[in-house]
Amino acid sequence: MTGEAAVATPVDPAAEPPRCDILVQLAGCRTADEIREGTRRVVDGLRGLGDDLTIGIACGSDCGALSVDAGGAAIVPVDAAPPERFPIVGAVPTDAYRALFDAGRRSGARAMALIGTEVDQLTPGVARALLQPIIADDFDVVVPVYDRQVYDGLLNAAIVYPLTRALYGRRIPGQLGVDFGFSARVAERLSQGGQNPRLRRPVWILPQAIADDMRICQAVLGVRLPAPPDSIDLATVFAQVLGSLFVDMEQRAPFWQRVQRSQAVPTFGTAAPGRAPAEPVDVRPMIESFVNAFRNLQRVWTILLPPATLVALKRLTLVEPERFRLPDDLWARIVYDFALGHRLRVINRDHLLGALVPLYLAWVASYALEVQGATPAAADVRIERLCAAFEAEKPYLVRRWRWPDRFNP
Amino acid sequence: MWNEVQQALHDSTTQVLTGLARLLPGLLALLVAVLLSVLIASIVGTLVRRALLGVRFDEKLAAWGTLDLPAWSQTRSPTLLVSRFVSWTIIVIGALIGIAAFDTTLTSSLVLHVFGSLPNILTALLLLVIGHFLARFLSRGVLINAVNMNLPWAGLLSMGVRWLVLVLTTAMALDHVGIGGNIVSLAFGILFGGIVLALALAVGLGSKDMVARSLEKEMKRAPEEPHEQPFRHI
Repeated sequence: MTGEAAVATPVDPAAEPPRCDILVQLAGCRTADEIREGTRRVVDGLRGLGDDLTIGIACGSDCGALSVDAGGAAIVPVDAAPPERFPIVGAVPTDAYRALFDAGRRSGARAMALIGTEVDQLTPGVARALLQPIIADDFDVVVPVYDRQVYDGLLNAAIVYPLTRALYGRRIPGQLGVDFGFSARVAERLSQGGQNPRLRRPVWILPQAIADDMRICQAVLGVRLPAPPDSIDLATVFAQVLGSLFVDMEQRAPFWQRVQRSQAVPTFGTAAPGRAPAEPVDVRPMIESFVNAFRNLQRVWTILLPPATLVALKRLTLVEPERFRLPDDLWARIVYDFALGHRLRVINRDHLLGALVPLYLAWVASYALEVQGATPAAADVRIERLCAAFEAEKPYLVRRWRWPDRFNP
Repeated sequence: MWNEVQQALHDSTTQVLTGLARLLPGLLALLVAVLLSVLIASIVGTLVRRALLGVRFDEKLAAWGTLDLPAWSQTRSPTLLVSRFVSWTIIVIGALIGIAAFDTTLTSSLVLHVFGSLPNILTALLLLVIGHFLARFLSRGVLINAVNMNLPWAGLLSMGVRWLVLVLTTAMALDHVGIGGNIVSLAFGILFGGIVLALALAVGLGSKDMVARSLEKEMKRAPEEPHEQPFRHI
């Protein structure tokens, strides 16, 4: 890496990007000041990875007009909207990942990173953690490990991680993160010129990477996953995250039906010890929401869930709030049944995902009651048990997926 | 005198018998037409049913996403509905052909009127079918969203939407075939307004206490520091 500082000059976004070994997209930096500061920290972080490495900073189509002290890095304009906090299916033209892969391929980069962590949390270590495994150890995808608190990333903990782990056989909890590292091989495979233009975001890139036998690892970033917007609506998140995950699952059915057990992936760095235990929270509103849903959504759930599951849910509506527990195997079967219903289109898909929201809230209530007073490490153990249940119930999914018309108790 | 009565009776009997004899071929033709049409209808109906079962019509319809297949019983599946519709259409056409065999002005005009109204009747039927699916789709969407908003009257709201759509499409269908005239518009207005009023009253009266409690709590509550929601879903 050249050690001299340079001031970037305006760059034409349509022009071919300059050649570089590493391309970093600062998706979490929006203003000129944030980009300047973010660039400085990234360059600091990558110092020492190699003396002859050149770095490109991709920071949106306007970044070429900024006078940024890039510390020796080239400024690459990438015409892409910043990544959303959750995947949006069909948003291909503004897909930040696709734009990064394109720019990376055109600039001949060996390694790429998309950094969504905002500048107030961004440390030099984040960029280094994401890129070192690719440069030094020849990995293809680096997935973030965040400082997780007990109630962080609940949708991921409840559905996305256990489901993808059971399906694809890799223990990678950071799929809904915003910071990732990619090798040139991934860019070649998934950029506009790649062979599979349907793939979009890391949630769904990972299954593809697993299927392609790419080398995947995790890197401890030492930062907390950025908070989602306050105005976020659960039904919308479900439609976008789970809707696309279920579609992806449908497309990869021949692959995941052959996967039997999960295995850990290498992890770089050591996570900080757990913070203060989780304080008890009032889960009664969520339980009331579930009971209200049970009263009103019977005829929708009856279409999706087998009778035994409905009986178990009815029992749950009758227990005292403090003894409210949604068993792991029951939850795994519920998720699998909804995935199957999504595949078979037994009802409108948005309706289906909307009908899952109260059940998810029931899971959150049950989880919160179980982990109150627990440290993040203890909560991780609890999630590990849930993942094991998803893996144990996978034969149920495979059976129903193959023969959906058979009797279902 | 008696001869004249006898003559009159003879004439009238002859006239009636002649009339009956003249009608007999027409009646026979009607009977044959109906029997034939029933036979053809059963054959065509069976063929249609088998063809639809062969192409998995019910599952394909369900795949459109607006049909709850399990909600349809075995005796009311879309396949049976279509095959029965085809059969009954053939029977009705056969009956009309039979009636036309009388060759009277009345039957001809009846046939002309029925055939003239057929496009309107079919359009009205289409409206009813669309209304049925739309009502089912919208009511379920409203129900799920209302439940996710934790509204206690979600079921009532969903039922209201369902009936609003059904009443609207039924009124449109009746208006299209010209049945009822102004009475349909009037009845529709009363029913539609009635449902909206009933919903408003139900929701309003149902939430009266809740709103009062909420306002009371709001007024009594001391200002507090906003606290961060501990749950992060993504």
